[in-house]
Amino acid sequence: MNDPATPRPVGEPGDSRVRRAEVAASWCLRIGTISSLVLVISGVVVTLGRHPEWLLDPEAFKTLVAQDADFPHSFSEAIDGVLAFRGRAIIQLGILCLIMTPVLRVVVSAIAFARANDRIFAGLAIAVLVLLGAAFAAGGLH
Amino acid sequence: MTLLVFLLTAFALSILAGTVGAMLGLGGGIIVVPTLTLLLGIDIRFAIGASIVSVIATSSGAAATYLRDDVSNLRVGMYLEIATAAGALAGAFVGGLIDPRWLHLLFSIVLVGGALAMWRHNEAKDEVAVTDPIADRLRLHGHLRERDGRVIEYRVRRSRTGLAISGAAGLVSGLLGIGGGIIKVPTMHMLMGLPMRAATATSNLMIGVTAAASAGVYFARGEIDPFVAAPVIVGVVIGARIGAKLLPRVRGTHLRWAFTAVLLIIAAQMLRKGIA
Repeated sequence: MNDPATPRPVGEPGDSRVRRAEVAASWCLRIGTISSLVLVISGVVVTLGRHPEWLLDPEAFKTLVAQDADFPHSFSEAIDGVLAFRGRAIIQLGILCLIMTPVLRVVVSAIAFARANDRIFAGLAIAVLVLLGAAFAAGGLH
Repeated sequence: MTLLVFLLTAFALSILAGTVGAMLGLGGGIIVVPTLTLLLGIDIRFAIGASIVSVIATSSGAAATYLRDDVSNLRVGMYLEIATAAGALAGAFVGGLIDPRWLHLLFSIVLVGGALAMWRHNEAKDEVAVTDPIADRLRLHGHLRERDGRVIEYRVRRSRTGLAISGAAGLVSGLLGIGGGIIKVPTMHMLMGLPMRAATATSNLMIGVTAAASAGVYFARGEIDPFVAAPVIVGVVIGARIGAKLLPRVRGTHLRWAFTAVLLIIAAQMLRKGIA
């Protein structure tokens, strides 16, 4: 047999509280992933709509993936680019949205645990957020 | 190479990377990086940048389904995430102090040991009787729905050792830039008593958080090229959905064999970097 556990009925006290946090986190991940996909695909479509000749031109491809390729490196640059209707900026905004999705999932879990009066796990989630913040900050310094 | 050929090839192989990654609880890096560099001639910096983003895409794409279908264990994930995040942060600071060659060698030995243990692991002989007061107090125990609709409960054990190893996993990923899933899945499965599918699904949930921290840095450094990352993200998200749908139909034993193979592949890569 594959799994070690023995069949037993579920329904430990507290099960529904765990469940609510899991469902909230699931929705957060779904919304984040879908928004990111929509932005990334729109960005590709916008770029190709403006420059359809890039699709079959080997030189254009080289420029797009060259070491010094031109694209936004920060949130504010991405926003400026999106306002100027630049396809690559729209893709970058979608990527930023994807990067923030797991972070947001931890925030949503923290709120869900706190609302379920689960202080230990709300605390754990907040501690993970603090460590993530430190990692972002430390990364920025290097 | 034209943009059209690149987009289609990267998209197709990313679907595969997402499917495999979602089922094994790993990022798709072992497929994404060689596809982009060796097959498509992309600069290694951009390939790694796209690979980091693909870990988040795998994690978020699959974990949404795993959490909804109650396959992953959110509490075990949050509990271990603390140690992983702290370890990864520590790894970023001590990174310059240790010669990575020794780390690669050491790590390849650890992985071969892990592969042997996974291969020989017999769940039937598991000490289900081990008690763990911490797991009781934190209510880490979980349940998993079987293919036939039966719900089986499992009890988590050795949560403290699991926490220590997760810290080490975070440290290693901070030092060597590999995902922590390769260590966390065997730990959760063999040591802590999670069924194989619950272990890969929980690992999936966790790798996104760790990858997000590094991805922010890669983005700011300009190592995430939109046109390299775009087909990878779209393909991986689709693949991760497929993997998450397939996972309930796969036997835990088969999953363990596949995981053992990946452990050996990564051990070989590490060994090559260590002796190069």
